Amino acid sequence: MTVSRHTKRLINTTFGDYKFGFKSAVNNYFVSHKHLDDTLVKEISDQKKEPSWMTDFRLKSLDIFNRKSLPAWGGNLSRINFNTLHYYIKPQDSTKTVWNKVDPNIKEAFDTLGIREAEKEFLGGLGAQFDSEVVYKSVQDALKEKGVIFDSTDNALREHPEFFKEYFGKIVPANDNKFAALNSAVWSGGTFIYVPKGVHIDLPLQSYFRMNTENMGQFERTLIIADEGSSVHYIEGCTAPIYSSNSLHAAVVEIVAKKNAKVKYTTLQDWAHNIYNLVTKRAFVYENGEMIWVDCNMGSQLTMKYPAIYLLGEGAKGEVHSLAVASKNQHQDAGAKIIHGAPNTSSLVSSKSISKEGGRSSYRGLVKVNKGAKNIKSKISCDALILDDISRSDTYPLMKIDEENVLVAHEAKVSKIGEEELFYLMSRGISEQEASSMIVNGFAEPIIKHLPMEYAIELNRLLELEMTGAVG
Amino acid sequence: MQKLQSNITVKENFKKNIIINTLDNTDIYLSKNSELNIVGIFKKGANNTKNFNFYLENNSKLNILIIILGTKNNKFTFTTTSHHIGKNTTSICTIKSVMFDESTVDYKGNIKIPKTGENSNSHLIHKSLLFSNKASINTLPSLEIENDKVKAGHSASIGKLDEDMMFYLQNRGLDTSSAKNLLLKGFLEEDIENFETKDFLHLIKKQLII
Amino acid sequence: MTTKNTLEIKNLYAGIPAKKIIKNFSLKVNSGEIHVIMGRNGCGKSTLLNVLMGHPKYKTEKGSVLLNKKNILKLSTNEKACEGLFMSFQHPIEIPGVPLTTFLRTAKNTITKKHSSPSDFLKEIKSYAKLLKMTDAEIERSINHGLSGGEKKKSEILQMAILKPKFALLDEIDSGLDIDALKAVASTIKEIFKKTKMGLLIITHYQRILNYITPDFVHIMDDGKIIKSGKETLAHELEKHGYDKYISKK
Repeated sequence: MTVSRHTKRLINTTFGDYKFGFKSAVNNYFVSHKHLDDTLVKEISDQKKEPSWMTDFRLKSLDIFNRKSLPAWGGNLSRINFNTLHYYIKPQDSTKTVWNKVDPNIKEAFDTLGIREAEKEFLGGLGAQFDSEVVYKSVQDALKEKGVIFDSTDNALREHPEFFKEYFGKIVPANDNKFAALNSAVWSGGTFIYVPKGVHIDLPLQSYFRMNTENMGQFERTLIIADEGSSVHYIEGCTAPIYSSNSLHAAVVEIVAKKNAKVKYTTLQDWAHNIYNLVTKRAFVYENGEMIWVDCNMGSQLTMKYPAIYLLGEGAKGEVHSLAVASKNQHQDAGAKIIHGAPNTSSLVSSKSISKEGGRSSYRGLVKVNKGAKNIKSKISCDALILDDISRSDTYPLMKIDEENVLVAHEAKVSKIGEEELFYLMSRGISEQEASSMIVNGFAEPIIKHLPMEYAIELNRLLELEMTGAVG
Repeated sequence: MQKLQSNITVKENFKKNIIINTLDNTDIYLSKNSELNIVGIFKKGANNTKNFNFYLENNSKLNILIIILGTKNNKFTFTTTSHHIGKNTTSICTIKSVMFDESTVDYKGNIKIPKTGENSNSHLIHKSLLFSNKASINTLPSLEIENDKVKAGHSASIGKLDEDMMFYLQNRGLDTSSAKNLLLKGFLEEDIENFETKDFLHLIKKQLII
Repeated sequence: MTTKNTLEIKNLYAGIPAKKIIKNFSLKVNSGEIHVIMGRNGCGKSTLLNVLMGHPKYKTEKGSVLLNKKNILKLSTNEKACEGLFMSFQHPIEIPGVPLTTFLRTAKNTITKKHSSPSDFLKEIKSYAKLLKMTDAEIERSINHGLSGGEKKKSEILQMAILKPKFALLDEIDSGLDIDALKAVASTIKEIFKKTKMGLLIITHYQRILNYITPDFVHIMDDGKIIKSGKETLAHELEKHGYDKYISKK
């Protein structure tokens, strides 16, 4: 199947090729001041016309943020200056559901990125966020008729507050960590999805996040509720122009997969290399439910992200497939967190990381089996490829087991591109660079195969491009 | 039985065999071309974390086998770190823990290969069996690698006795208890066969009586 | 369609840092000729082929390898492949995640400098797979992934059939093959040989392959060089009397 030119462009920039690191000149509708305080938080809540309980939630969270300290592990967070960030920039007055109504400069940005064509070709719904707000959201009529809600979190809060009262902040509470607290105080934009009982959404729903303003902080908040027996696949992609100063992306994603429901969440992260990407993602999975995280991290200066699955009902299943590529000056600190809180649950974590040109890639994971979680199975495998002697690879898989009737296995390997493998491919006429590229793609293949085909093809191409830098 | 000093150096070109049975903070230096086989059989826990550090100079070889027999409410909190500071070093570290009653293991096994550790070969295995609902295992095998010309890996597994193996033995007439004991013995002794010296083997087996 | 090529190995010395393995090896192979090298384990047969293909483990000290009068010894492995050399490995390695068909099509396009479409290529690979009695499943995987020893050897010959080299070096192609597989492999080799009149250099220490492929020349190798050359009859002699007759006891 050949991929259309328009689709190629979307995926290429969803996934990033920094020739598209352009900046858009937009007359912003509202820009908050840079100081992080109660006034700012109240202003945000005001602009969004939120119920008072949400305003209170935000203020309490700000308090928690101020009291909590930065994590002592992981990447280097010392250079984040919380007083130089724009916490809230509203680029237009409201979310549009028709492209023509979107602000022309913003529309041009997304046209350049090829977003609309993808919507026509292979998505069930599409959202586009520019700085702090969702500028465009649409979902196929057929899905709307079935009762599927796919909207910005802000709109959904106003129109479906019952979901928020029940789930918002319950899966990732504000005091979980400092950046969850920050997000809870100043969150804006993000995706809300509700899938009614028994509804299966065949085509993926996608959101695209773009940071445009320098020194921007993007704090999107996503909430996905898959009701009993339903299924959904959500894809998020993110890029930003390149600036010399730092930006911060601190998102929170909360997911509930009820009995027999299945949720798959794919992230293709290729932020510019001046961005701190600190994300808290967690799913609660109930009886016989299933959660699959597919997490591909290629960009950002520092990513700290550990998609978590709490298996809370009997028979629940969880999978995390993670690919991290750390190049010059990059640190990918990624992994997975699995809690077995019920019997007969199973989990699978598969992590592949590549470190090159001085980059550092770390796997940080946790498998915890609580007492009473009998007869569980967990398998974790971490493979790291380190391509030269200036790069670094770490693996920190923690296992905490409190139940005797379990089968937990973990395996990790670090290696470079094998001499024998290179020789074999070269003996068939293939150049060293191309052979290295093939091997790296082959290495990443078990993760890439979880992506929709159009993305898999582009990701392969991007890995090839990455390799042209790495082999001399 | 040798009580371990807190600082040991294995001299250049020497080969040493050591058995220890107390968890204690220990730094061990393997000089160039030296070889160390160290077996730790721990039945008694410790009140706080004990750290074992191994520093490997050029061409040195380290073989560690640690067996933990957890009973009552003994707590075994310890770390092992293989620092591959020289070139062409080998470190094979095997930890086997069998936990009964209310015992716990809290283990961090570190493999550190800095830029100077070219051609390191480092492997860490931690296998655990839990025999009680009140026992627990925390394990964190970690790798920190800064050189591409290395072979490094680790694995950890926690489980119960293999059901197929139990079935096989019971099929040959053994009752549950005998089968369990046999498998347990096998689980703990399979790595001991790797130590060639007969006297050393004998000493280890003496220590291992459960 | 057939051009006359020559492969001449002249006074080759090669080995690993601690040990000299190839010691003054010389041999000339022309297009359309089938040469067989036999010898005991450790005489350097496999090393010779790996040295010819430029395995990074080995260093060459002296000598030359002339393909149509051009010295290819110092070229990189892929350049040698493009000049027309092909080696079928004794222990073909698995390369996970890299599909066989994609890799082989890239190789073919690079070596022939022509572009074949995926559909034409698929047709070609399937026809040779059929000859070799390989299943679709075997060709649809990653390179050598999950294949038995014998299946891997078939895959090597499949690659040779697609790439149609000037000179094919076969390292113990018959080991690991049952009778049916051996017949399929031998007949495919013969078919490609007939079509392209390539030069064949077969390494073996069993007779089996020689029941299906008749060699023009048989050489006995010992201690890194050829100590005796002859025709097909030399192979029969070896079968009757063993190596002792030709190789002095150390």
